[in-house]
Amino acid sequence: MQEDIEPLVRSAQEGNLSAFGSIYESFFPKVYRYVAARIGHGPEAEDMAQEVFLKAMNSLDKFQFRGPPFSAWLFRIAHNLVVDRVRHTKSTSGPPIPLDEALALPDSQNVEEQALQALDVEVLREALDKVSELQRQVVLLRFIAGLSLAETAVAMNRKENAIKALQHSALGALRRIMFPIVSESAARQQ
Amino acid sequence: MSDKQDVDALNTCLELLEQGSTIEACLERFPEAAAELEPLLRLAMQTKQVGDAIETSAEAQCLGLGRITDAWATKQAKRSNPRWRVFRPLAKSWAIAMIAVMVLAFGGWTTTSAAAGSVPDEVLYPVKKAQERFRLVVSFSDRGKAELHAKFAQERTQEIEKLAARGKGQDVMERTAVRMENHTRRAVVLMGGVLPTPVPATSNFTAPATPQIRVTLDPASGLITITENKSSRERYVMQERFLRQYQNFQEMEERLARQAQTNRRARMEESFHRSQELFLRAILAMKALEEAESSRP
Repeated sequence: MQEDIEPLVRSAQEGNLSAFGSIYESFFPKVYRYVAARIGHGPEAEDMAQEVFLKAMNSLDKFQFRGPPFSAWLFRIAHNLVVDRVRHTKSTSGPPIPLDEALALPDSQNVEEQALQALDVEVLREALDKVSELQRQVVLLRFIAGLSLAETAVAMNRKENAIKALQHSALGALRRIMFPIVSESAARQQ
Repeated sequence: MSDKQDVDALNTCLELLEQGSTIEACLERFPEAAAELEPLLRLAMQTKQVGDAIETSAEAQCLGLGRITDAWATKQAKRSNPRWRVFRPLAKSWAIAMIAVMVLAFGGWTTTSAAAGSVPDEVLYPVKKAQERFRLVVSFSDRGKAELHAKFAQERTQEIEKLAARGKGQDVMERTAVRMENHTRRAVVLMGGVLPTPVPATSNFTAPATPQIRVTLDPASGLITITENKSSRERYVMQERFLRQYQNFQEMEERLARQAQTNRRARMEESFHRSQELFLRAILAMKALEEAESSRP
């Protein structure tokens, strides 16, 4: 991906708007997914995803190929914008809706599959609110934005082994939050 | 298995799944960790599916591209024009907007008239742009905004004509062409059109589905199909404007053809071609709709 995007980024740095347009078209859906999974699907997420590219455009001259890959650099911008927005919202809004109200909790492992099928972006957002910032980041980058392990490591400024451990703990934490009864029963059986 | 082995096994399985393997095949590789791995892998895959299902509209994506082309043109203008560096504080958009509001609110007829005839790189041009922004802000309907954008696209074309006549540099003409194309795109989107998404040079990008749009692009014929969400009169007004704009494009193409062949000229021609194509599609689609309406009993 980095090899594919490099000529486009170089061309955009030289002032070619069409090249930046191609970068935008390649990455916009991923960036939008990342933002929407964090702040909710809709016009605000669309606006913020567009903001990510406006900021990237303004800082494009500073991007260097010796540093992090372009995708990681772009998602750092997205992350900073999302964090600012979430911080602002938390300081101005009430407590979040309890997850139990959003998700019908299963009472046995047999229904975990059904509950998984019912998983949607709102339930995921509620669950992500309850894990640590690093766990949330790794889930968003790896599974929502679709970044590779290496790209995620650079975007989060961590070593790949740390990302491996984080994705393991993040999935475990999400499962415990989304399916507490299933997880407890499984733990007892072990 | 140790914690480290669990972590590595999960990562290996995730990589295999990314390469198209199945959960069952992954679990067979790590039978001793299968009980713990299976729910985590299913959750990871389901999370990925949730992510894949998050789609934005083609309209939002096109409007974002419009914001970028606007910002790009402004950035290039600041970079190439030394006057912007001297008057940088004045160049702030809010300051320009304030000037426009004051001019509009307190008369200043002479200034506004003079600004209306200005071209890019002239002192009064920011006032003209601010007036246009002001008119867009106070226009509340989509149709009104679309008409304004179509009018402004036409205005940009005339500016390019004036710039060419005055022997101005191609860089300023190119920036104006980008603005013209942007206005065109917005006009088409606001009147219910969807713009053809250019195929990027990278990745296996596919245009997102847009079930709620009022206008669709037929990939076979390449035509925009406009559904009956606008009245016949509205369509007629837009069609007339589009036809005029299309004629302008043809004139500009002839003018460009007489200029020296440079990279900038090539980019301007590309910009014109894209806008021209959009206009032509809109005109053809409107004609088709009118014919369909007239043939109805």
